[in-house]
Amino acid sequence: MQSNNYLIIGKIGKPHGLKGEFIIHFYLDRDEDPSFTEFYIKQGNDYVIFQGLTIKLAGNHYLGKIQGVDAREKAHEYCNLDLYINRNDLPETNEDEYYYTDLIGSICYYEGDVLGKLEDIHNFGSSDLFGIKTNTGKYIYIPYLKDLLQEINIDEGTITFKNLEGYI
Amino acid sequence: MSRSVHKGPYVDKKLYKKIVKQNNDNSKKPLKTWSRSSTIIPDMIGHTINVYNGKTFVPVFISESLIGHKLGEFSPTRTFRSHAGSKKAKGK
Repeated sequence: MQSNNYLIIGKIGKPHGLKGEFIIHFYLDRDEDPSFTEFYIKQGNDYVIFQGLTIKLAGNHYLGKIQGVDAREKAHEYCNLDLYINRNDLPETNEDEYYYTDLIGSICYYEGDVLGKLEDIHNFGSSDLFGIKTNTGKYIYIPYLKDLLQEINIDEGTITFKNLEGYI
Repeated sequence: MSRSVHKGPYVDKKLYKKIVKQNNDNSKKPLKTWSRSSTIIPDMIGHTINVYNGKTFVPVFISESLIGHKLGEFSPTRTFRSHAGSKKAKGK
């Protein structure tokens, strides 16, 4: 349900060391590597390829370096820059797995009626939770359990639930 | 200082009663609780417990890996928002 073909995947943080490196904060699953081939940055309304960026893992965080940037002062100029990737570069998901970005914005149905709109997806440690804003303005959580889900249709942007007694 | 072993883990009496009743009836209807300090015990596996965070009830689906933790750990009291990025939702 994304409005364009580019997803925000990370943000450049503060410089690290004196040789032009900087920390990158990625928005990834815990077990995932940022092994994307191309990154993009936003310039006005357009997305342009961010060339010369190399990434390495250092301890708990990722460090980035741009070709030709060899000083801390120069690296500081890139601070707070958002990094994007092309949606088509993401690998295929397994069965019963969906990218958050594909689901957010979907219209949720229950027993033939519109329940609300999927606003957000959270994971607080137990299971993925759909954060749904109902038609009455109430915000409810529904866990992503196979027993509660009838159908997910990414193309139409709809999610159909079942057996929601006790959740709404 | 940790809790004495002879007492066993702390579980709210009302919540424990409801869990036992549901296990006897073979029911998995979600339960509501305000007891964030209750320890997750093996009897709770497969149940969904709506844990209050001061504002709303957050459903916590109990699986084996949660045993020994407190219910409140999975129902945060402060909001945190992040970009979706390439995160994936996996069904259980």
